[in-house]
Amino acid sequence: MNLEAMKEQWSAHDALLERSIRIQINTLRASGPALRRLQWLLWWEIFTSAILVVLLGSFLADHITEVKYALPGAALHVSAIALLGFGIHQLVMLRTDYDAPVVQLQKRLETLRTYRIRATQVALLTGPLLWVPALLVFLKGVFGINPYEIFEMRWILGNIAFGLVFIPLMIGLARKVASRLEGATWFRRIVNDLAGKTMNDAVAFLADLDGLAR
Amino acid sequence: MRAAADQQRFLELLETHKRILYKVANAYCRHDEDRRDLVQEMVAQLWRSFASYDERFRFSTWMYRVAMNVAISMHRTESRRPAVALQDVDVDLTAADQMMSDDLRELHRRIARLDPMSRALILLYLDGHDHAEIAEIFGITTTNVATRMSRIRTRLQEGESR
Repeated sequence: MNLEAMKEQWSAHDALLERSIRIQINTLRASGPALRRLQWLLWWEIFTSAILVVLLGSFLADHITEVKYALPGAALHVSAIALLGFGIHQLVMLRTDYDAPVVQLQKRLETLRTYRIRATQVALLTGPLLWVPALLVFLKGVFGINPYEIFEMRWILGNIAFGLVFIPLMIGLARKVASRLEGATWFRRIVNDLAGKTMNDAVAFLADLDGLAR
Repeated sequence: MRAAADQQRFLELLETHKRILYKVANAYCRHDEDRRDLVQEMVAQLWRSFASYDERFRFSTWMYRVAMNVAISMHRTESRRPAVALQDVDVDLTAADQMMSDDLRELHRRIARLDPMSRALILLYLDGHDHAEIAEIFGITTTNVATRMSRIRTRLQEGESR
């Protein structure tokens, strides 16, 4: 294929495009459907994280001298603060000028993407670990029940240990099934995030951008 | 609320340069519905960014930058069509597609096999932009443009996939 010759054909086709393309603008909006969905999702994440931060902060303050409640409360509080921070950071980065130079903007957006991938990984992998602290805090905070009278310490520690084992198991399973998955994009994306596939892809793209910028 | 004059000016410029939307959408989407989605997103982002457009510079250069940034970022996030498509923009590219020669179709197929950044570079090259203009759009040096273009040309001429 002679690229110089193709340039001529390209120009000739280009000259015909004026009359042959029809783009009718019905409503002029400042954001497309994809961006609006993402903005709504981020605002929802920030709202729910902020509520959790306040409620868990209050719980922690009430039980700061009781280690058996302060520890799970602190673990959840730190997680909620991290979630809130992530959400705000992403919203700030979303207000990005798309007329910035391509390499510069794509680096910014891809970095944002790595944050989201990391947040997904952490949320999914620490979920099994944090559900026990969440249960303890929920029973005590909402119902005033002493969960240590209901659940034996062996049961509590056993579940936390299971949560720790669960993490490498989840990653291993995700890596096995990631390449075979068809169907719902959102589910495939989660599995690819867990397996590290999307992170590897993002890192490779960032390296490509760095190569262009050097 | 943006002034009506602003809107009118934007729509006139968009109409004059709508070919850019077609070419970028073709480079990054294989299916009709995906192309329409991408065109919608590009138009929305162009309007959003229009307030910062400096008229001392060529509109086509600015438009390419915005359009490519939208296309590459959508391509990277593997966005799918929304369940209910918003008809902000009606797009009909059928006639343009039918006028394409077989050689051009083959060229588009080879371009579709390149990575997202290389597609953008070759698109600008085929459109007649020189290395300095491409470097300005990308925010990189002309040397880097030349190096990358050389690799892309080789890949396309050999018909290799990445």
